[in-house]
Amino acid sequence: MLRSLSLTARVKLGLAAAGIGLGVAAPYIFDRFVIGLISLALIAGLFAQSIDLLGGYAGLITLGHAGVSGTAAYGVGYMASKAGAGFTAQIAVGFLAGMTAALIFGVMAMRSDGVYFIMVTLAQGMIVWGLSIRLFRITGAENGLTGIPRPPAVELYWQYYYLTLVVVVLCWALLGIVVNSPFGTSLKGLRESETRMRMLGYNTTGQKLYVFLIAGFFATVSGILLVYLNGFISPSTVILAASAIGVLEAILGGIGTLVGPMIGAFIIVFVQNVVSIYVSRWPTLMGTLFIVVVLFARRGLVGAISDGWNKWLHRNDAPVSQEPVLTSSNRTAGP
Amino acid sequence: MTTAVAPILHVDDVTVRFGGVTAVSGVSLQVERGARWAVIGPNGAGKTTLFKTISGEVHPTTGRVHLFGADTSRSTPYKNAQSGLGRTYQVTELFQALTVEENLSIAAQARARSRFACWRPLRIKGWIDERITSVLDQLHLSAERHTVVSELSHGEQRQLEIALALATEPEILLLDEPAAGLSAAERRLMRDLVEGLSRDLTIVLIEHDMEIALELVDHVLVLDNGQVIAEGDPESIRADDRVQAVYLRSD
Ligand SMILES: Nc1ncnc2c1ncn2[C@@H]1O[C@H](COP(=O)(O)OP(=O)(O)O)[C@@H](O)[C@H]1O
Ligand SMILES: [Mg+2]
Repeated sequence: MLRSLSLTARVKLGLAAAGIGLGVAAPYIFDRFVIGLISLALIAGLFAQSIDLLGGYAGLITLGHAGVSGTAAYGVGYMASKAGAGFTAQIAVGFLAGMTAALIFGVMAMRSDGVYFIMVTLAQGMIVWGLSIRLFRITGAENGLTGIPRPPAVELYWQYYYLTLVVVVLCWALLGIVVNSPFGTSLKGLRESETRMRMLGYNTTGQKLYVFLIAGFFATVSGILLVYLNGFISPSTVILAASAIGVLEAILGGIGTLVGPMIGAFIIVFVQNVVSIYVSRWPTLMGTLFIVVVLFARRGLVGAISDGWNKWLHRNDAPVSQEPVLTSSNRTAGP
Repeated sequence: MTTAVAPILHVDDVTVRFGGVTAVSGVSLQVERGARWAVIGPNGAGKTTLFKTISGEVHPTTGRVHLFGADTSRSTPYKNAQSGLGRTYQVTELFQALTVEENLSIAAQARARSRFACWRPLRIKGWIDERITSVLDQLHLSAERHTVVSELSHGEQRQLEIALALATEPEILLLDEPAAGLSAAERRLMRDLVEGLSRDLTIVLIEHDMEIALELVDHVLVLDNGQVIAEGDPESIRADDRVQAVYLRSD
């Protein structure tokens, strides 16, 4: 079966297997601090993937996505620390809160596109941030909500890490199905030409709401994972920068792919938390890294790697240029 | 008493104003099922704007549009497309970063329930594959099935413009200058392609080039400054002094 796959497909499969193997072995290799960071990066990666479903696939760039994941997190936090409810109720309310935010925001944003879509989602993120500071009784304002325990079965750091790994890999697989589905293909059409989509018979307004809800679902999952990882939630989880970092991660890794946002999230989480120990000017470092990627690898790190790989694959092909050649293989006449 | 079949398209005294500009002024036409019409006239005559009012991209300032017997004056492009209207663009409007096959699979599913399916992979097989294959064959694009659109020549992109509209299996097709920007040889190919389209399909064609237009259709509407200055079969249009004058002036 393996032999029927192309070399590229086999390499991808190998990397995926190595990634999952490393993921499973990680708690035996790394200490508590690193495992915590990997958990955080996995959650940030899922969040960035969900942003990329909107931005990279459908061409709808959002700057308010933390408003959705944050609302879900606040839902869990409120039920845990204020209402004293059980875990099932906490998670159910978290989902309800996140999906309600996604529905309301989706309805608000579905009639706009391009810069207007960015502005509408930006405003939505600001509203959630504003409410998180104002609604003291629900959100605890600047102090946030603290003392949110994890469910007993995943209480220890390595247990919670494994839960995170399983949930994120599962969501990644689901996202993989979505982007390769008929609906996922039509999202790329929306990105390329909304005018044409409408003229072909697509209700593009409905399409945008639909994808906003799907992205909202995955953002909700990431928000719930995050609140139990940290054990607290505060307005800093829903500030503009939280949404913007997700977009940066997607761009850094490579938009329009699922692996890109995950790689971007790992880089940024580790730069933020490890490099910052040694380099006090780490935001400058991150800014420089970002500019270099945008200037020299327009399609992000994944794009650059895949270009390099393809070049290497075709290194022995006959040199082109000099003479005019027929580029398309189907135009080459047989003997 | 004979039962009159409603025309597939009825434009009734339509006027479209953009601020102070009157782009279309009191235009009427009735297109019967299976007919082939051309709308000709100099640049800026209002041809594209007339198409936009038919498709629902622009709503008439006054007057009415009826498609398939229903009043669609306030309808939207996607609803009109769902009822069987297809339209191509004067300035190529394709999914540039996707392959020809992906473009056509999006178009083929535009009127099927499967367009909402997000829980299973897209598989080009069965009726979708058949429709894509047949459209590619009709438009002489079979060899480019897996090519990314931005790598196609301009001529091939113009062919794909039509292929995309055909993949939705429309009953009436509006072609906005299909030969725009093509060389003389490519224009002949394009003329043959349009000529070869199914006779069941109702076609309204905008064409700046009067000779190409008159060879392809049985009814002609001539616009100038938003107004109808002549209407009739190709012979009478060729002989019409006012049409000659408009074309001499613009060329
Ligand atoms: N959206 C618009 N806003 C303002 N004026 C427009 C708009 N669209 C078209 N026009 C004007 O309407 C007239 C007819 O344009 P158009 O329908 O594109 O002509 P044609 O297709 O015959 O070349 C032109 O004078 C054009 O400038
Ligand atoms: Mg025009």
